[in-house]
Amino acid sequence: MTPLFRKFLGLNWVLVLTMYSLLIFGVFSIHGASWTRDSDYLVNSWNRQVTWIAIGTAVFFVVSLVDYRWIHWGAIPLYFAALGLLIALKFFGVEKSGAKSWIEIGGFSLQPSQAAITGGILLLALVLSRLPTLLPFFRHPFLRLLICGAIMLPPFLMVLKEPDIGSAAVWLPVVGGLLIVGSIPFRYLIVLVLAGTMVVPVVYFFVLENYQKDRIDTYLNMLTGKAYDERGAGWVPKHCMIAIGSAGWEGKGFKTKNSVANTWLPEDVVINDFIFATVAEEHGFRGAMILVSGLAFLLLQCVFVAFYSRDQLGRLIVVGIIMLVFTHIFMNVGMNVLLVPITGLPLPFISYGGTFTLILMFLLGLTQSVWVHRDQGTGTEKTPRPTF
Amino acid sequence: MSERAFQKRAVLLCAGLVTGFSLLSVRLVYLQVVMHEKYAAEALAKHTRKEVLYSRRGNILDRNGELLARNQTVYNVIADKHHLCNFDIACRGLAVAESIGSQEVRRKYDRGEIVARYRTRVVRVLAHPLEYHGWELRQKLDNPAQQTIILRRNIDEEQYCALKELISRERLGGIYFEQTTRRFYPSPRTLTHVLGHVNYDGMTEAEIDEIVGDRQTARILSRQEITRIRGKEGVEKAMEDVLRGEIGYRNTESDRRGREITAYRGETKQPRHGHHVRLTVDMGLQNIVEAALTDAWYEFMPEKISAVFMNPNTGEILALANRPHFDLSSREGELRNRALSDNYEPGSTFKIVTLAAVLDRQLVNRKTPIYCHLGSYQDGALRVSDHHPYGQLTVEEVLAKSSNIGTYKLAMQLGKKSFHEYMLKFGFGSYTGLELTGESPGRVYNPKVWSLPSFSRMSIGYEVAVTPVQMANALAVIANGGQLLKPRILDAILDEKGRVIRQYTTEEVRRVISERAASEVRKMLIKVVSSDGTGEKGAVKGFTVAGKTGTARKYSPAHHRYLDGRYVVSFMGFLPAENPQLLGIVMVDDPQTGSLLRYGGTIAAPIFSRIATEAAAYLDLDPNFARPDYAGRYPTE
Repeated sequence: MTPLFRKFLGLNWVLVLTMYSLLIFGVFSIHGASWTRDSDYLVNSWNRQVTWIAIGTAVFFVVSLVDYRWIHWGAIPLYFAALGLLIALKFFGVEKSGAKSWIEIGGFSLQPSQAAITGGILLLALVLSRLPTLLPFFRHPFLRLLICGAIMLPPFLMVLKEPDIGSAAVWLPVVGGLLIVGSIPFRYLIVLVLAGTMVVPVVYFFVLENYQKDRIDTYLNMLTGKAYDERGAGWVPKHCMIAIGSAGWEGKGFKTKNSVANTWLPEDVVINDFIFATVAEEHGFRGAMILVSGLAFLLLQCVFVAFYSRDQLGRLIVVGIIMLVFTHIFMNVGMNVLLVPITGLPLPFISYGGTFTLILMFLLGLTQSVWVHRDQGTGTEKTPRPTF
Repeated sequence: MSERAFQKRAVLLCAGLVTGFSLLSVRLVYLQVVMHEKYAAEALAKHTRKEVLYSRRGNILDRNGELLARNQTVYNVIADKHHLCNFDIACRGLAVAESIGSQEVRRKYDRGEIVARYRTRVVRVLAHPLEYHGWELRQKLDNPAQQTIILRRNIDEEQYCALKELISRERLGGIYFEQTTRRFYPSPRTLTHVLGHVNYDGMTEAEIDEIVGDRQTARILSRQEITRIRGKEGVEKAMEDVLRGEIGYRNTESDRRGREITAYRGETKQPRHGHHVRLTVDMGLQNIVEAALTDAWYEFMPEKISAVFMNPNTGEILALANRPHFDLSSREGELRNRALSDNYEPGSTFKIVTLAAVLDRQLVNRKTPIYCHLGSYQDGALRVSDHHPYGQLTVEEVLAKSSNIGTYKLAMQLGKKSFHEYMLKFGFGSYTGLELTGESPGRVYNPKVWSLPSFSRMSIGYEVAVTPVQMANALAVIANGGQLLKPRILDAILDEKGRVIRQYTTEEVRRVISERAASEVRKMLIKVVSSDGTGEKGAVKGFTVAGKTGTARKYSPAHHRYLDGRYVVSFMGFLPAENPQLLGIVMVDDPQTGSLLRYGGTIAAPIFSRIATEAAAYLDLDPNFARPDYAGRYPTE
């Protein structure tokens, strides 16, 4: 048995299966959310998603079978490349629904904000795990916080300025999670949280554009049962709730012709941002809970991986990935069920989207890599054995 | 970081994840389990619209098929404010206004300015055609309370086409039309009380239930959609069930833009259109009557005038008119059908009942002499007087001269009980059954409650309350040989294609008097319309007319007494007397005259004569006198 094949067998197959189940479920969901459309482009989106998954599969296995230590030298260039993309966005970006967040390269478009957060996770994980050991000077938590801020803020602010509040907001829990696991003392974290809370009203009144405020106001009005503009900002959340609420326990069936989500939500967002509404409508409470449980199970697997990783770097990477995926799930499902205002984040593994699928599979590949290489200890740290 | 520290912190993170997923689940449970019913109803409402398919209301025709009431398609002009403020729509409209490209508009102005300028443009273009001042229209559009504003109601086809063209030429998005139906009366000031009028109401809950079936879908119907035409008076009300038809519905499903997804069309119930109603009314005759009444209205300035003309052999109402009346299109004026709803004391015309009764019982004949006490008859406390003192009169002359004393003495021969029976048999005190709304039965008191003078008063037409229609119908008994017929105004009900589905026929209610008695009374009534009688002015050249005048003092309920110098005058008659074809009554309530005496014979009879003369020509009745020769002389018999 070659070492490579041993690694292959050593993959966390439960996690692999969970991921692929979700991806396949996603392909069906995309089909269910777009089959009634007039344009072939939308009708065939499930087909393109399959292609992306195929490409992603290659990325996934390559990344999972390669020791993740390449991050030691790869994180910095990756981070700056993503930063470069964000800067390029300023000049070559394409405006879609009011925000410049897409770059078109040779026929297909990608979202640099997603690349940026991936780069950010890797670099932060590296900095938090390695810097104190390399330079004892950085053992001081405040200095580590400073350097984390320095890494996070440029891409964060650039994304915020696009403006893409949703993608920017993802940075907060991700960095928060990394800081918690990155052994920053709680007193610092508490101060950070308090400071962040103080910034909220400032951001609301001075940073947000009118239409963004409108969304938040509408959200609050809908939650509290006040009157809201049903045909403006309230249109989408209202119809989401109707779609999901009307499904009941069993749902209306796959590819139902009575789908509220397919009929009343804008056709180009229902396959990504609002795919959960379609899923919940077609498969009902039963299906929606299975999907949410599936996603939770996937995160649980990742938590396991984090527990059994051999070093701090692996842990931090996986925790960053967990927080990234979780934030997307929470914000996406949350906005579909009116738990949070509408932000426009895709649902991991389910939503249509090339860049995002690729990045997710890349990140899950990294997680696998952390799992596979957990036993090849550096000798400096204790390596726990898997017990389940 | 030690293993333990990491685990502690990881637990914190896991707690965060668990909280997040729990929140999502709670929210899912809330939406999909707790609120399911509500959202399921909303989803159904979103998708399947129950569209009402209106039934066309039936037309109303006269006996010759002339259209009296039909439906007219009209349009409401509606502004959708959400669309008026839409940026793309505004760009297109402004581009046309400034004769530049839509892209150029976007470059030239900023977002807010484009919308504002577009709105100004809409006001400028539409204010004049919609008959608004600019500021008025702007105010209407700026009203923040409404999202959709009805700018104009009920514009007709012509205006609609012009406006539609204007809107598409100027590319004004956000202005829409809504098609509805109005009731249209080709001649709005004719036959008003018979036709009645309609309202435009919403449906009642019960009706919605009946049409839609279940409550849940009923809520889908917007208020606008369930507005419908509903008969309120006259034939429109009386024949509501026939005219209305049955509303159908169609389940449609529509997408976001309101386009119908025809592939998903659901169950459909076709509407059953209303049936047409053909009246017995002859519009030619009706117009003659209307013209005569209008002239009389301005000549005498009375409180009211009613005229009813009918065919005495069939009970068909040929014309019925009142003054004051109303405008069918605007519904302004007097809505009350006084020929049917208002009671009056008939006075001398009622004497035909007394005379017919004594002749039917064969107590007297036409030539029996009656002593009339020289104008003043006293029996204990009871006093009856005449206008002129008469001595010995024959029964015939009693009627011709309209002697109160003579009539009372005849009635006394009959007795109270029999007289009361005859009154009832002639149809007084009960509904005639005419198929119109608001009919009054009149009032005939029972002999048990009569006071001392009651009998004498009733025999000459006081202390009874009748309607003009009842009087005409009672006269028809005399004219047709003793049968009381049910008067009717409906001739037939026709289906959509004009085929008769129900033909109304003459209904005989009862035999009131013998044929012989009727014939005797007819002969006596001819005498009334002669130089010897009170109704001379009711004569019609070329025809023998039988008739009776009536002059009753006007009773004021407010003062509880009869008013001095104020009368309800009437004339009723039929022609040709030997073979009656046309019968009519003209009743003028409180005419104001200068020198003319206020009698039935001087006021109502000429109106009758005028109508009957024209009607005889119009109906082509056979004159029973020889026609004059070329020199205008009548050949001697």
